[in-house]
This record gives sequence, C-alpha cells and structure tokens, in this order.
Amino acid sequence: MRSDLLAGCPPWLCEAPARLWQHVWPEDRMLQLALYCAFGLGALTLLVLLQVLLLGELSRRRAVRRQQFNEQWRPYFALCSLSDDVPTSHASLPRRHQLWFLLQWNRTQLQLRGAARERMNGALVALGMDRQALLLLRGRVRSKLIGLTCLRHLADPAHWDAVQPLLLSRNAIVALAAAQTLVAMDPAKAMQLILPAAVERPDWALPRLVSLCQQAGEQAVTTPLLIVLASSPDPRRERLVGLLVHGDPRHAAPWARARLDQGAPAEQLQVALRCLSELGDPRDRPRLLRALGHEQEGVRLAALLALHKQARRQDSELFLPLLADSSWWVRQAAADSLAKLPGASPEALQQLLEQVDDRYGRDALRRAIAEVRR
Amino acid sequence: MTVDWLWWLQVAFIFYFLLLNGMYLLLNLLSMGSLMGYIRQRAETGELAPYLGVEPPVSVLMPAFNEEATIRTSVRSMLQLQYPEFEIVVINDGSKDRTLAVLIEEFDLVPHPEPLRQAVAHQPVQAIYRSRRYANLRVVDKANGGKADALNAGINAARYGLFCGVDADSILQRDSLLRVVQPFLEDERTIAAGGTVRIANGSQVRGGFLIQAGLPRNWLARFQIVEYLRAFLFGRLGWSPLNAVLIISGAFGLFDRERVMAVGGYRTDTVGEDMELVVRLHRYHREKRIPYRIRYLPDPICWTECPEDLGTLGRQRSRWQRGLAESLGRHARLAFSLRGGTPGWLAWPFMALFEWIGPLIELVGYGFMLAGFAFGAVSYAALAAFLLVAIGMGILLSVNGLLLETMSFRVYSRRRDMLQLFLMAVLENFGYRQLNTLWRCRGLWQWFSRRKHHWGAMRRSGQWGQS
Repeated sequence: MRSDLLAGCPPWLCEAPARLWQHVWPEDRMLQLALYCAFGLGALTLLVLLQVLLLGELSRRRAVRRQQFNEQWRPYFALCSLSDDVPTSHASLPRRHQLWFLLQWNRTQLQLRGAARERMNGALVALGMDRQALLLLRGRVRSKLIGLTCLRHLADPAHWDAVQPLLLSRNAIVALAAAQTLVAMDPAKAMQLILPAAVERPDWALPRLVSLCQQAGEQAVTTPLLIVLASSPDPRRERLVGLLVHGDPRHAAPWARARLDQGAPAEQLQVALRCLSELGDPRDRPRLLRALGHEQEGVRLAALLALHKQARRQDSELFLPLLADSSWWVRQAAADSLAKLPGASPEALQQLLEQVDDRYGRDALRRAIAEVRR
Repeated sequence: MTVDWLWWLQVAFIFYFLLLNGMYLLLNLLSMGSLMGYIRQRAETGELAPYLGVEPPVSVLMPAFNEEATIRTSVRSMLQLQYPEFEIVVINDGSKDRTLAVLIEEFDLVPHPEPLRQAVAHQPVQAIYRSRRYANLRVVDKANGGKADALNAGINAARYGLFCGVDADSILQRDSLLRVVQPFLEDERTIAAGGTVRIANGSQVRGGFLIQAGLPRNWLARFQIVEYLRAFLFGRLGWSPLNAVLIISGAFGLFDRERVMAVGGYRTDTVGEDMELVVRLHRYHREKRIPYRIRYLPDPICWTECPEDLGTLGRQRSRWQRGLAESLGRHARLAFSLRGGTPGWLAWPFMALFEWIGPLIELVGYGFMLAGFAFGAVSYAALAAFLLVAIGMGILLSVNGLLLETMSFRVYSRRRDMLQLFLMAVLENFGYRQLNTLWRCRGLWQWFSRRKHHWGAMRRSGQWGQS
C-alpha cells in the first residue's frame, strides 16, 4: 500500500529527505532521547508563546469591549448624578454586562458627594439594579465584593439582613467589606456586632478596624468597645484597646483615668493618655504629670503630648527638664512644646535656649525654634 | 578508572543543570499560583490602589552619590506620590559632582539646625537642609561612607515609623507607595515589603513619571528586561507565600524602622546591604521567636535605568554576586539552626546551591563539557543532553517569565513588544547568560579576595534629568 502511494513520488521529494533524516538521526539511544526531549521542550516553548499571544489578545479585546461599554454609559451616569428624574437610557443592558454596569456605578459613586450620590442611588433603584446587587451576595468572592460595595453606597437599612451573615465569612476581605456596608447602614448597630466579632478575628488587621471606627464615628464606637473590653473573657480583646483613641473621649475618660490610677501596662497607659489628651480636662493634670516620670519612653511621650495640649505660658519650667530626657523623641517633643507655648516670643525662646545645659536638649530646642520661625 | 571518573563528572554536570532548571520551574509554578491568587484578590478589591485613610506615614529615603543627572527628576517624581502622609529624605553621600548644588537650586534648600539620633552608626553629617518650597523634603549632607552608611543616616533622620529605601536613579509609579504599604495594613506582623523593579530604558518619562512603557533599542537592555521579569515575577513571588523572601531590592523596599534599628541598621561592610539586611531580619526574628512577615508584591513598581554597556553591566553583576555571597556566607547559621524555618531550610540552601556557588559550577560545567567534547572525552549524546538542560530549559524558564507578565500586569501590551521579548528570551541563552556567569564568577573572586568595596558607578543617559 505504502509503496503504491510512493510509487509516483519523485525521488527529490520522498527519498532525499528520508536519506537526510537517516543521516542526521543518531543511532545512540541516549542521544535519541535527548533529541526527543529537545523537540518536546521546543514544542512546549512554542506553546507558551502561543499562550502568551492568546492571553494578550484576549485581554486586549476585553479591554476594548470594557472601554466601549464605559464610554456608552458614562454620559448616562453623569446625567443621573445631575438630575432628580432618572434619565432614559438608549443603550440596552444585557445580563452579561450587568456586572460591568455595577462596577462602573461603584466607581462613579467614589467620585461623588452629597446630593449627587443620592441621585445615583435613586437611579440604581429605579433601574432595579439594587436587586442585582443583592443577588451578587450569593455569588463568588468577586461578585460578593461588588454587591457589598453597591449596597454600601446605597446604605439602605432594608438590606441589613442580607448583609449581616457575610460578617461571619471566613474570608477576611468579604467579612470586612460586609462590616463596612453595615457601618454605612447603621453605624451604632454595626459596631455592636463588629467589635465583639473582632476579638475572635485576628485576621482582621487593626488598621482595617481603625478605618471602620473612623467611618462609624466616635459616638458609635465608644460604648460597644468599652463593653467588649470590660466583659469579653477572651484575652485577645487587649488588641482592641488602641481603638479607644477613635472613640468619644468624654465616654472613654473614666476608663482612661482608671488605667492611669491603677498603673496598667504601658500600651494601655499610652492609649489612656491619648484619650485624656483629646479631652483636655485640666483636672487630669496631676495624672499627666505623674505619667511624665514613667520608665517607658512611650508613656512619657504620650503624657508630654497630652500636657502640651493644655499648656500655659508658665509651663516652660515643666518642659525644660524634659529636654535632658534619655529619649530622643521626648526631647524633641519637649522642645516643640516649649517653642509653641502660648505667647512665646523669639526673644523669650532665645533666653530659654541659653538656660539649657544639656547639649542634645539645646540641639532639639534650636531645631524647634527654627521650625516655628519658618 | 579515568573513564569512570569522566563519565561520572558528565552525569554530575547534567544532573546539576537539570536540578537547577527543574527547581526554578517548580518555583515558577509556585509563583504562578501565588500570582493568580494575587490578581484575583486585586480584581476583587478593585484595580485602583485601595485608600483607607489609615495608612501609616512613610519616610522615603533616597541615598545619592554623584546623581546630578537624575536627582532632580527622581525627587520631583517622589514629591508627586499618591500617599496621604510622607516625607522625603535625600542623603547626599559626599557626592563629588553637583548633586547637592542641583538640589539646593531646584528645591530652594536652606540649612536647618536639626539634631540626628544616633540609633544606628554612620559617617558624620555635615549639614541638614530643608526645602522652603516643599515642607516634606529634607536633605542630609554627609561624608562619603557608601550606600548602606547613607541609608543609616536616613534611618536616623526619618521621622516616621516606616521607611522606604529608594535608589536616587529610580522613579516610582505614582501609586507604588500605597500598594507596597498594603501588607502592613493587612497583617500586623509585617516588617518589610518589597516591590518590583522594572527597566525604564526605552520608556517615555515625563515630569518624573513613566508615561508609556516601551522597549529600548539597546539589546543588552532588552535582555535585562527579560531577566528582571524572571527574577522578580518568579524568583521572588514564589518565596513570598512561604515567608522566605531573602531579597528586597535596595531600589525599592518598605521597612519597619524600629525593627531595622533593632538589628542594627544596614551593614556598611558589604556591597549587598539590601539582601544582607533582609537575611539578618529573618535570622533575628527566628532566633528571638518574634512573629514576622516579609512580603514581596508584584504590582508596586519602581522603574530604573539599566546599564547599556558591557563594562557597567559586568561590574554591576559582579557586585551583586559578591553581595549575595557576603549575605549568605554571614548568615549560614540560619540554614543550620533549629529555628531556621522556610528561609533557613529552603530558601538559604536553594540560593546557596544555585545562586551562590551556581555560577562556578556552571562555568566549570560549560568548560568541561565543551573541552571534553573537543578532545573526544565527552560523547555527542552527553553534550546534547547537557545543552538541552542548560539551554533548552533555560529558554523555557525565560519564556515562562513572559507568561507570568502576560497573565498579570501586561506592562508591555503591544503584540510587537511581546514578540520581541520572546525573541530576547530565546537569544539570551546563547551568550548573554554565559557572559553573566563569567561576571558572577568574577564577583565570587572579589568576595573571596575581599576586595575593597565602593558605590557602584553607573554610566547614565541623563534623559530623565532633562525631561
């Protein structure tokens, strides 16, 4: 059969390549194996190249389609943000583009404030896309996050029950996004849930919790936080002490005073001093003065900064000795306090500088004076 | 007996190259998984750099030595970073050119009587200047002591808890600082995070920012683009999830200042101060059982100008190799310690075998196989197998670096650019890599002979300074 097929084949086409192949192909088994591997590697390399080109092309096309979609809808969103009536859209919104719509809506919301945001919310509800956002909460992580962001912008307490279960998500990103959405809906109620949960979630990083506290506002933070700190049996609650700085200092003051009076650990004392610093109550002055003598430099620094907030003209006597403190930071803060004392004139500061014996303290004060004169 | 010995030597070299490239392919797979996860997370949290408003303030430290051509643009680029609160501290390390004069003219600097802490040691500071135009810019002028010494002065001058070391010949992408700080916000154990360094040659830079990434005309620079993609996207990304990143590039890395001060700052008696610091941080935290994380992130980008001539490139590579040898040699205990963990038990031996003594084995391997073949001691089959694992798998690795780039950030989005990079990924294995091996062996010799070290001189195009 084979010879029949090759019978008509000219020798330059069939015989010459076969002879060449026999000449080139090695007889050594190991060399043959090596060449097979080389062909394999070459093919693999070419496959990777094809994949690189294909992925690049796909991503380019997706980017073009996305850009076209955004250009089509951007004017509509601009109209939505300007007008109380929902404008009619001339473009259709197929199901596969609804996610892009919500993404673009989220992005537009980030750039808006006040009434424009409310109008955008109205438009979303009028288009029925809030239901789509709720449906996304049942999807995969990416969908959940897009849905949660939408609901955060809407801040409608009616969505509370749909969002709350996601606070318990094992995925920290989803859980914190749900927390943000709940805070947007009802800060006080949300913090009552979030703070006790945060004790058991070491994967919720403190800066994220600080961000939530800032979003919720000091009124919403203080009471639930104090309750958690006082009643939680979990020792991990101590991690949250630093959040009190973002609470209402009037409500946090009793806690802070108690810590200072009891001689709590240095980290807690620093937080307590920061709370009292925010409050600025002159009655706390003896506590602050006592903390100036603490062995930990962080505590001394916090006490100094708190005293600086309620400093009086005659307090130079109080800050001058601190220019010789063993801590660089305390010296610098003392110098800043002296240079910014109420009514401190350049001449008075110059006189103060001459009174300083400590070389490092003098350097610090000279720097602070130069900065005040800027 | 001789034949046996020769045969075993051939097998040993082939096996070494197989192991080398096989391990890199494994690392590549790890990186691919890690990168996919990172890209997914990035897509989930939004492609724009997240901004929470609680980002800790950062001191950007820029050591500079004879950088009059680029310092103006670099500082301008840093001043426009998208970040809530940061300061820039330029440390002029006794430059012999007009670096300080350029800074004084451009940023209206005036002397400022500022005392410096002496938390870490460094050469005497001659003066500190502050800018009358930019409240967050200061310049420390000090006696020459090397890059590590300059960074130590910067650490003492820094006012914030995190510091970011940036080379004065580099420019950061506007959102880089916001991205590189993310691990510090997500995990309180983070003590250091590094970003990706990419080659800016051939790209359009305007006003201190990179407008459009492009390929340079110079082939050496093109080879280095492929090399950097390979080194960062899978050389480091693969180690990050294992908390075993041993290198954070000196060109761009964010550190917890207190932790760096706790280990004594940068060492001034090494040319690889960036790697040495990271390995020392690992060792310190492991020995003291302090929980910590050192992360690498692929998307905070720092653009840098790479050498376009063989002399400068060769010196740079020798210096890097010497730095690597010094860092690994000094901290060999990490590998043999019961508390070594992944950095000590995995990353250190890997680096030691394939990066530290690797060039030497490669050089001997190439020499032996080629000379052996020429004199008939090495068979066709053995030579073919050797070239296959040394070059064939090398090509596959380089091309995989491009795949990672395409799967992730697509900085080089034009099809023509990708095809050219693919060509480079193939061609670099025929000559360029072998040349690199030679330069790295020279670095090993310099390390072995303890040659005196100094700042790496770099021939600049100066294009950025004019933009």
